[in-house]
Amino acid sequence: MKTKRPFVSVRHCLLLLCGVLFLAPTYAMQPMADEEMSGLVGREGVSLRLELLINAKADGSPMNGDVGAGEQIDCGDASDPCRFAMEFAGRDDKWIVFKGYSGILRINDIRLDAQAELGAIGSNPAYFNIAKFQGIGGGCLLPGGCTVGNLDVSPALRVSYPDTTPAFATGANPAAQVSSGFTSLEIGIILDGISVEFGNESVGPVANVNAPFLGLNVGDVASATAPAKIAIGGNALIFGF
Amino acid sequence: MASGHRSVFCYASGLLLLVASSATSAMSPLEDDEMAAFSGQDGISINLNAGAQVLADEVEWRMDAATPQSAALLIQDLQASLQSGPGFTGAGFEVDVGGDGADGYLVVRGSWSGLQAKIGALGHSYYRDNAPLVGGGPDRTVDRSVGMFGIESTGSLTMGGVGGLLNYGNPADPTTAQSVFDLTSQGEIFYRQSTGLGAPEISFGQLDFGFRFTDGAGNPGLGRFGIFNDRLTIAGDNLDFDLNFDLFFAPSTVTEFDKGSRLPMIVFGWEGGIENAEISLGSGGIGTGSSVDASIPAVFPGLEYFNYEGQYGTRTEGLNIKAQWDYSEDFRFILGQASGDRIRVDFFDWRRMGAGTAGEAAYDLRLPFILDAIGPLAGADGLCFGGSQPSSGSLTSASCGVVGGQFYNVPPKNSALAVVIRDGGLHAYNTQALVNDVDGLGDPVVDRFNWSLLYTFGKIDANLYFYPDGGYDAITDKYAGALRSDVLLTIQSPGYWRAAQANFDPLVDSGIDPNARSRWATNTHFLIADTDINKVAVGLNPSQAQLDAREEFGIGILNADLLWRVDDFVISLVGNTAPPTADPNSSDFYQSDANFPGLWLQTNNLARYQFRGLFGGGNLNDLSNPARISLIDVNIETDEFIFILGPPREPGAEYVAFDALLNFTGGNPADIFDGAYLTLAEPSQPTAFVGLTNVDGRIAWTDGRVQLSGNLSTASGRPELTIANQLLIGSTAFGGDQLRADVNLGMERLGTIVIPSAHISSSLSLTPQN
Repeated sequence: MKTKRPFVSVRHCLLLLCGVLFLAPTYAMQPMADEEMSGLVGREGVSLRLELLINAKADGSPMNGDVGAGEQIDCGDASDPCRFAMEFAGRDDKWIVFKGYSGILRINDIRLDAQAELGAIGSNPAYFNIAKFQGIGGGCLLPGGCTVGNLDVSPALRVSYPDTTPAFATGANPAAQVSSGFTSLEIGIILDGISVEFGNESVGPVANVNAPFLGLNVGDVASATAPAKIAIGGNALIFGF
Repeated sequence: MASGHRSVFCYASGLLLLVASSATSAMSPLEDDEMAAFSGQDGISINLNAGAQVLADEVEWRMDAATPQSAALLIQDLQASLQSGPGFTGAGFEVDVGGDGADGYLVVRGSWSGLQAKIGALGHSYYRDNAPLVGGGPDRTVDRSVGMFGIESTGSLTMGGVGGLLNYGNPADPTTAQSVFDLTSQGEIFYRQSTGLGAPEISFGQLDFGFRFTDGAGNPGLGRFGIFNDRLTIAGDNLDFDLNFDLFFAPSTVTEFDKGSRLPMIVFGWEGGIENAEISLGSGGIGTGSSVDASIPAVFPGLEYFNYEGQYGTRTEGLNIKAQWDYSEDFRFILGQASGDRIRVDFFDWRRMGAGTAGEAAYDLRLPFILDAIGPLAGADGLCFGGSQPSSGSLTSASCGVVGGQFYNVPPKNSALAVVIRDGGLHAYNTQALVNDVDGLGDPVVDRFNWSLLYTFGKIDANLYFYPDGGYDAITDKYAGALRSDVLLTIQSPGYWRAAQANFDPLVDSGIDPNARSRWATNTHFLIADTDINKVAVGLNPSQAQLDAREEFGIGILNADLLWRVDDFVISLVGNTAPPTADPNSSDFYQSDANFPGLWLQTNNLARYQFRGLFGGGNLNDLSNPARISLIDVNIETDEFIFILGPPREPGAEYVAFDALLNFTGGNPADIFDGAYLTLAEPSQPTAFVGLTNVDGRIAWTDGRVQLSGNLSTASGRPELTIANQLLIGSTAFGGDQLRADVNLGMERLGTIVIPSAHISSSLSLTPQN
């Protein structure tokens, strides 16, 4: 059961992008009208639900080593263990350290399916941009040729999100901090700060010498740690080449 | 300890051979009703009363006697008895011999009730053969054991036919298939590694086994059983096969072979019809030497192949089994809960991959394997992985280099029980799934999907060496048990990966196999497939015409290669209570861990698990040109590896628990494909890959669960499969080293990522779409 949550403005931004899913730019995608989508969406593909809690409790707050909950890490510990670090080639022993890091990701109902043939969908010029199927220099990368007719009979992978709130009937009242219908995706990130630390691979990543200069928080004003919630609906058709 | 003596089984087998002498008289077909009329007529009847007992000190099965490779399997401290009491009827056997004026026939019928057998120790002769004689006899105190087995069975056997017990008939003449065979057994199998009080046990409960000839409609039928081409062969157009069990684990026990203390883990089952089956046993172990063989189609000329089954010369003594069959439509692969509502999923309606296309395999399943007790330095030769290798045969190291493959070998230590597989394959997949669930009142609810959990195996090759590792305990006069193994297993899509690296362009790589893609029907695939994308066969009972009209599309890893190479892989049963002794050499000793009881698979030597293929999808009627998303190559290399499978950790819960610990080896920093790595490449530009390379450090999984949930307990109201675990990284993983990896774009290193410590909780659920 999903409870109503207040909303934040980040949702508006993301919602604009939610007509389709984001995938690599070489895949051709255009939003589809509902009636076209209903002709596509199958009923017996697999539906996936994924939850990932990185150094985080289920409510999005950082783990604090709660033994009863089986937590093996305490982000509040003086050694600041909830971190990861990276260095770039040619900048050896200079580490960008992401400290006080925890995150939560919930994908609540993403669907993997197949589309054997597009039928008349491909012939809609709105969905067919030949440039998406061409390599550098304009050569066609699609087996069988970059034509509408070929696309119509080409198999495609379909990744889809059901429109869990029909016609995106999401509701939001910023003043009351209440929203509804944003149930497809939940993302929360807490990053206390990024520091530059020095030392070899066993020293730099765990060092606490320099002060952090940039923090980040993706969440919801409902609470300090609640994840942002996003509504998504639509299909991505992926053609291989 | 008394010295070993040959058991009554020798006499029993001699008797069987006498009975089995096949007749050569001309034959005419025998109808079922004729066979029925034969039964119960004059013959010999033997009855064993309930309570009867047989004891054998030792059965020794020696191969390659009087050669340096001489070795034997030892089955020791054997006991068999027939339970007495209410419901137990003992055992009885009848031999019917007769004729109808034209043909002679012989039928043996037997049944047994409450048979209990125990194998006190299972070992290998190596240790004894290499020890000095004691008092002029072999020294059993140096023997080692795998452990103890307990078997319970109630069942029946009917076999025989026209022309004698082992008359195979003429394979070219269908009317000479005149044998009956029906073996049925219900029972249990237990395995424990210690005699100690409270020692853990794994058991296969409610084990149903059946194997019988049918007429294709489930009724008793006729087939072939006998000696054919020097092999004991059972073959039939239609057979029925059942193997069902509940897998249990008892973290601690009260008695030996304890049914009361065990916890249910999972139901496994294979049941239903198989067709065009041929299963044969022949003499002959592992061959030696090699030869050029021009008859095997290959990209490169003059390739040399190992003589693994004596095809180019001699082979050692041993036993080899060839099994091959097709699945009938009603064949089911079953997974389910072993407790609670016993929700189970049947994967059925099997179909040959690429059925109707030119490249389809000649069979659904083929598994040839050699069983051989090998002496020192007598193992099978290594395996070729990757390159443009032919789709059959076993290349020598030099020829493997010619085709661009990597040659691997994990040689056996001392001597071992060897299981050697070459050129196996599985080329069929299910097209329907049936979820057997219950409603709120406990009444059955059935849900049918056009779904496939598709796994096909292109070319299966393996060298598996097993060693008994538990020693003799002078105080208890018994053997401790332990099982150690060396594993080299490849499951490949021959030639595909090398060709994909050149995007199938011979101008880029002149050595690629031009048929690598067109062989898709016999390659290795792991897919989730929607087997009715146009929804023509919906509902519980679609018509055959609707089922035939389905179109299928799968998503997953196509044309995959797998490599599994482990040195000193130890299989232990780990309990949750302390053993009665701390002496690891005592037969009473067993390992225990209060937090992680279960079946431990463990090695502290180098282990390598490589998995690569094309991530994509396509129409299952033609996967030669699939939607290609990415080429994936995952190589897990560890110097410490533990994987634990156990019962649910909470009372009454229904899931399979798993835990793991992996210590990655970084390898040579100058070689990105040395050590553990993961790469993702663009299929049309395989050199453009993103990689995590030289992965080093430790990760662990704890509280892993694989759980099948019924429609009552899920939010969606549909059955659900959930895989959840706690992933611990670096120092949180039991004080491990931090996890590090180089990030590569192509061969260039972009930088390095380090995670000193982390705790990631993950859960992935799969459910049918609503």
